[in-house]
Amino acid sequence: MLEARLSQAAILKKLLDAIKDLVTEANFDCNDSGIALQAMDNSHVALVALLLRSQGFEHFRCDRNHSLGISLASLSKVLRSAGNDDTLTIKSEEDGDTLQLVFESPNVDRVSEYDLKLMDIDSEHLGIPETAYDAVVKLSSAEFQRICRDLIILSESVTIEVDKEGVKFQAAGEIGSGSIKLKQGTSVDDDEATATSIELNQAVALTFSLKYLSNFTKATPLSDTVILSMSNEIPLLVEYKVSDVGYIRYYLAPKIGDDS
Amino acid sequence: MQLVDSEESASWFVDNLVQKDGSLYIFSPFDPLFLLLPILEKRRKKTSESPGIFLTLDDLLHDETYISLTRLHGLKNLPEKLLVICDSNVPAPGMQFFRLNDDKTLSWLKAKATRLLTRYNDYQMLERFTSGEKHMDETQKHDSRLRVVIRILGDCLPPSWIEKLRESYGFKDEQEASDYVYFDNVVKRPLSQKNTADADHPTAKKKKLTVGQRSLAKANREGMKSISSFFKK
Repeated sequence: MLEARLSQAAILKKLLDAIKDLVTEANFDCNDSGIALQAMDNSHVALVALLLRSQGFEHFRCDRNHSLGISLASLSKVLRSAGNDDTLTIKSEEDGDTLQLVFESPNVDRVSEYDLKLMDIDSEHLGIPETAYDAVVKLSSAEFQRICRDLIILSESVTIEVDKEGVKFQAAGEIGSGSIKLKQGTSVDDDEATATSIELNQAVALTFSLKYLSNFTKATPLSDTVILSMSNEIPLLVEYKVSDVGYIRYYLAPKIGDDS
Repeated sequence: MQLVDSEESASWFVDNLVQKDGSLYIFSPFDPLFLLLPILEKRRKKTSESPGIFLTLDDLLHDETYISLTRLHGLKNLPEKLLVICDSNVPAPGMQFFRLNDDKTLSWLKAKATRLLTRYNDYQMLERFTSGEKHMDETQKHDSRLRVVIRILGDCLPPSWIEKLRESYGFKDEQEASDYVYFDNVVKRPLSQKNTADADHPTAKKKKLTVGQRSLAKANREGMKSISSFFKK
C-alpha cells in the first residue's frame, strides 16, 4: 500500500496547476523512493517530469511499486477543497481502484476525506539521458514569467541567446520586435537568491514556442528561481525545484529551421 | 500472404505459451507474374512511338527501393514463365532480354478469368455472390460472374490493367453498375460487441478543454519535432 503525508496540501495544489493544462491524465508511479510522474503533452512536443522524494514527506510508506492512473482535472478539483495550510494524506491500496485523500486543518478540527477513482492509462515512458548542457541559466522565476508574458504579444516564438555576457530573449512579429537582456549577477528584486547566473560551455541560440513556455511558467508559485538548460538542437529543460521535496521539469523541443 | 484478424480468438494457447496477438498470417499459392507485371510495365518505358525497351532479368529485379525483389530470382523456370506475358530477345546464348507484351498479358489474364469462371461453383467463398442470381437469365448470370472474377483478379493488378481487362470484355463505362452488383451481394459482417463498446467510449469521455489547454492546442508547432524523437523509449 501507499501512504504519504504532506505537511502542506498547497504544494500538491500548485503542482497540479502547473501540469494540468499540459497533461490531462497521467500515471503517478510510486515506489519507496517517492512519487514520480512523466507525461507528454497531447501533441508530443513537450514532456513534463515530476518527482516528489519520499524524504520530502512528513511520512512516507510505499510497500511495493505501483502506478496510479489519475485524471489530473479531477484531482485538481478535489484539491480545490483543501485549505492552503491543511495537511494532506494520500492513501492507496495495491489492488484498489481509488486514491484516498484526507485533508486536515492545522488544529485538526476539520477532517475531510475524498476517494478519487483511478483509471487505466497507457503511457510510454521515455528514458531521459543525463545531459551536460552547453548553457545553464538560473534566473528569477517571476522574471521569466514576465518575459514570456511580455514577448508573447509580439510573436508566438522566442529566441533565447546565451553568451558570456548574459541571456537575451527576443521575439519578432507583425507589429514589431522586442528583446529583453538579463546580465549575469543582477537581480530584479535585489535578492541574492534570485540573481541571474549563467554556466556556459558554449554560446547557444535556440527558438521555442512561447505558448508552451508561458504554460510552463504556471509552476512559478512553486519556486523563486527557474533553471533553463540548453544545448543547440536538443530540447530545452525548464526546471523548478519544489522546496526540498523534489522538482518539476519541463522539456520542450526547439523550433528548428524557424528564425522568426 | 494475408493478415487475418480472427474474430473470436484474441489470443492463442500454444503448448505452454500464450500468443497474445490472435491474428493469423494465411499463405496461399500466388502467380509471381502478378508481382512482376507492374515492374515490367514501368521498366519497359513504353511511349506512343516506341513499344519500349528490352531488359535482362537482373535489371528487372534490381530496384533500390524494393531490395527484396531480387529474391524472385530463386523462382523455378522464371524466364519460361515470363515468356507467357513478354516478348523475348536472345542476342547471344545465355543472354535473354524481356519486354512486356500487352496482347500476351491480356490473353494470360483472360485465361485466368476463364479458369475462375468455369470453376466458379467450386469456390465456397463465392457462394454469397450467387444469391442474387436467381432472377437472371444465362447471359446476365455470366456477366455478373465475370464482373466478380475481374474484381478478384483486380485485387492483384495495377488499375490500368483492370481497365484494360474490363474493356476487353466490353464492360467499359459500367463501373458503377458492377460496383453495385458486387457490394450488393456482400454480406456485411456484424461488428463484434467489443468494437461497438469501444466506439461508444470516446464520445462519452469527450471533455471540455480548459483555457490553458485550448491555448496550447492552438500553438504553432512549426519546426518542432516530437519529444520522443530526442529521448529513447
